[in-house]
Amino acid sequence: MNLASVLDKATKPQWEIYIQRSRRTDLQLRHSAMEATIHHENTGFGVRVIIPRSDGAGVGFASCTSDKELEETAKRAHDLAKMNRSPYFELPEKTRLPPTQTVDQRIWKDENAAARDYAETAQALISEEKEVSLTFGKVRTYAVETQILNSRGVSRNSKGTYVYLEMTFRIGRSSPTEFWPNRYARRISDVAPTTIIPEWLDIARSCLKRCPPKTKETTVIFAPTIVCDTFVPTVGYHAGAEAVKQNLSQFQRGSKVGSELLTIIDDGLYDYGLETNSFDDEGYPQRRTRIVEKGVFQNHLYDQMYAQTMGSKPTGNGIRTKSMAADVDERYQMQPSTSPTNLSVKPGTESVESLIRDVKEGILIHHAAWIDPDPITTRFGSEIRNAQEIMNGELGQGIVGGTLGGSALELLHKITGISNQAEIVSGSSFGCVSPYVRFDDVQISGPT
Amino acid sequence: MPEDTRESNGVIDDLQESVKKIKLPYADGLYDHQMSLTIQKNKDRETIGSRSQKGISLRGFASEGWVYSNSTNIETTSVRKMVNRLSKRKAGAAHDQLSMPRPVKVDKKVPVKKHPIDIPMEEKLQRIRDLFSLAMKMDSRIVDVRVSYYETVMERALVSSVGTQARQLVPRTRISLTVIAKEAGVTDYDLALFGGTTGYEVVDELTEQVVKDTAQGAIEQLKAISPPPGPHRVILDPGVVGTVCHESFGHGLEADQALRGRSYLKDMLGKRVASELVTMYEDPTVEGAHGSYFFDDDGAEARKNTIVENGILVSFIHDMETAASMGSPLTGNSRTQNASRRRFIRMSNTYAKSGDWKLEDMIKDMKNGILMRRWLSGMEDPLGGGMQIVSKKGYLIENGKKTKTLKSVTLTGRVLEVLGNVDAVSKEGFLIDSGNCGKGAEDYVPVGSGGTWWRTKGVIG
Repeated sequence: MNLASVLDKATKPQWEIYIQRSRRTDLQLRHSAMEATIHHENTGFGVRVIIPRSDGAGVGFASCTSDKELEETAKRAHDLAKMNRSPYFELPEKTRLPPTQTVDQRIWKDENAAARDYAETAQALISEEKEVSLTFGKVRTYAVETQILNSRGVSRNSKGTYVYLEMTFRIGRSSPTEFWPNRYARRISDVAPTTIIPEWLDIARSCLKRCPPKTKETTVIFAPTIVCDTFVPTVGYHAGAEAVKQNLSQFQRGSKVGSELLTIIDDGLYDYGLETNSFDDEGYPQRRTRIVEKGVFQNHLYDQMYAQTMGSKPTGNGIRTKSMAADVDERYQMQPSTSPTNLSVKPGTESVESLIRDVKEGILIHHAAWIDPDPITTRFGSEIRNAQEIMNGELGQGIVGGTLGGSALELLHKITGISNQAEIVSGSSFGCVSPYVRFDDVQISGPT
Repeated sequence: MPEDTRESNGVIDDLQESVKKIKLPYADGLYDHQMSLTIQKNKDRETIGSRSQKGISLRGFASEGWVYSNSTNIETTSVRKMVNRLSKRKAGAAHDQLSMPRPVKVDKKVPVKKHPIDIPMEEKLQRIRDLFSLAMKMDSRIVDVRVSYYETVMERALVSSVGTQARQLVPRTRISLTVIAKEAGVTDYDLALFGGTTGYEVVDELTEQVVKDTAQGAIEQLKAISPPPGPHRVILDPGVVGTVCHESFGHGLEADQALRGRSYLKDMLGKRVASELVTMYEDPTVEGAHGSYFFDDDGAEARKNTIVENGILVSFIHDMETAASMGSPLTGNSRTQNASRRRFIRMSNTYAKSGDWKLEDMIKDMKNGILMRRWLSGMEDPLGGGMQIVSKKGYLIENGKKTKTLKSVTLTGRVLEVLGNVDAVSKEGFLIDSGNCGKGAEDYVPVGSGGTWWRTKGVIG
């Protein structure tokens, strides 16, 4: 596929085509039955055109869902580029790529059967419960092919699989409450029903007896999903070159940004990580970039444009970010921007049990309504949906209601413990590998 | 550029033939084409993108529930495969389990004053550059400005086995301004957003005065303090009230959650669920509002529904399945993000009726508390009955006066308590803000939400 023939050569355009083709099976469950089955075949094309201007460049982007519209889409991107004002940058050249693990062969061969088997096993496991029941669930599998071609001779292909789980557990019969987790993974073994369903049922059961929290500053342990939702949008933003260029980043090289226990790596090569790939969404090799080492900030993250305009090298962080509106196989609708791949928090030395044992009074938070921190100010506030009281080193009754709040970057200084095993997790944010993390003096608000 | 193409003529003919071939007692086919343009400008660069997203969703009611076959490939050969996939399914008892919409043959288009297609791209860009420059000049502490413009035209057609043949063309246009200020190591911002089922005329709402106020708001935020945590009396601005309506008795009344045993409101029809000052509507027919449409994605005509009247729960919102199951009329609330997703019960425009109070009196009379301003987000809790509302800023009220500016404020609490404690609703300030709503963490649809000022109690964090 070569777009050179449809673009006006006089403008000296660079071009790039990003293509995704996917098969999805989405099974939606109601109790022990099927509520809906959705099969989807998806193809999409995103075309970016860059043309040099005397004062920088013009960058235009257009996307479509049919190869028959590709030429027209390229012309549209070109027309937009003529009017746009951006800094000049060049698309990546051919380079060697690192190997990565991104495919679950079971899903790749038959994503429909993989989803059905998962749903049946999960429903059977949940049906044995008395006090907790499944009200609604989604089991979705994806097989996705991605291709990038550009005017500098880059031609990249990759394959990836995903499984998405979302389940709503009704907790208790009279005056019930709910545990409503969701999770993406690359392969089923990372969210095996025989492992994750009992874990989720344990969390649900812990809230059979519950009360709201009291207003206080206290010790709080975040489950890996809470770490993901709190720090991917905030650490990711402030580590990104865009925030640096705009003088909005709170991270300077060599500055202390957190506890000495904290080491964070942007790991684009983590085996079966959600954002793992050999190349980023501009076609540049992904890699591991140390962001924080023992509490000290090390390196910013760059895509092509910011690397070239700031005199640095790209770090493989030109990402077409998955959003709530665009799923993992709809990235062709997005333009790349500086974004983390897999934000990976280095595990500590203690077990989760040991983290809990050292707490005289505190809360273990499994699930919050929607952390959704503000990337710029890093402030957040979220209703506590499923948590457990910690008293004298032991887990107690459930905590439901009230608010967990604060500033994400201030929390990094309050870390007092990190557990020794990391999980690939997602929540409303995507692309994180994290253990449990303990913080002191976190603001909790309750009705008293 | 988004265009009023009406290219779906041929596709609809194909869909009609396809739906006839699906051997299930109820089947339908939805064609969706969304053509959009996004322009964003900040200090570093301009970002321009155009998107054309087409798809077909065929659906039938089978013994195993709803079965969908969706594709971005709308060619005849692809649609034939989709039909074959559905035809292999065993039929469900559609006539017992579905409340069929009255078959309609409609072809409607939302009228706009200035169709975006008629505005040259250069003019749109220049307007955005002018707004950017104006905001940057407002104060030396302003370090960046983000202007974001979005226009889309949704062309959606539905044909069904009961004879519906409906097509609608719905444009939506939004513009937002974010002004970021920095001083003495503190960075914060304020923002303004306008949007709806409107044309380019919405840009005119982002006036010089709005730019000035937003810049001033950003500067004020630099000195803002954290809200005092714990239980408080609160005054909510009309946008925050809209978000409360949306998260409380919007999501709480989606009847699919009741069928799943996932609604704490299931047995509360006809009972008191809020203060008698609270009346709430769910209404996709509001002219110009962001969540408006002519018919839903089951083919049911849009209509105004009262969901809470003087504090009494009046109605859930329904699709074909829940209306049949709960013996209710169709309310026109079945919606999908696009043809790659399934259809769910979704809100359109959810808003509260005005009251008699003056805002000034509400503040004076409250003495001490918190005033929440400029909603950012919300989250529902369909079974637990909680909710979370986040606003960009707030004000402390001390001795009946607005005093210190607050950083972002989070309100949580039990819906029945927060709405039961509403003791004042203002006459002035009615608006319906534009937003997007997910069903959980995905499946986004455009919505509107609003009302006037409310006073109640909740937990602040």
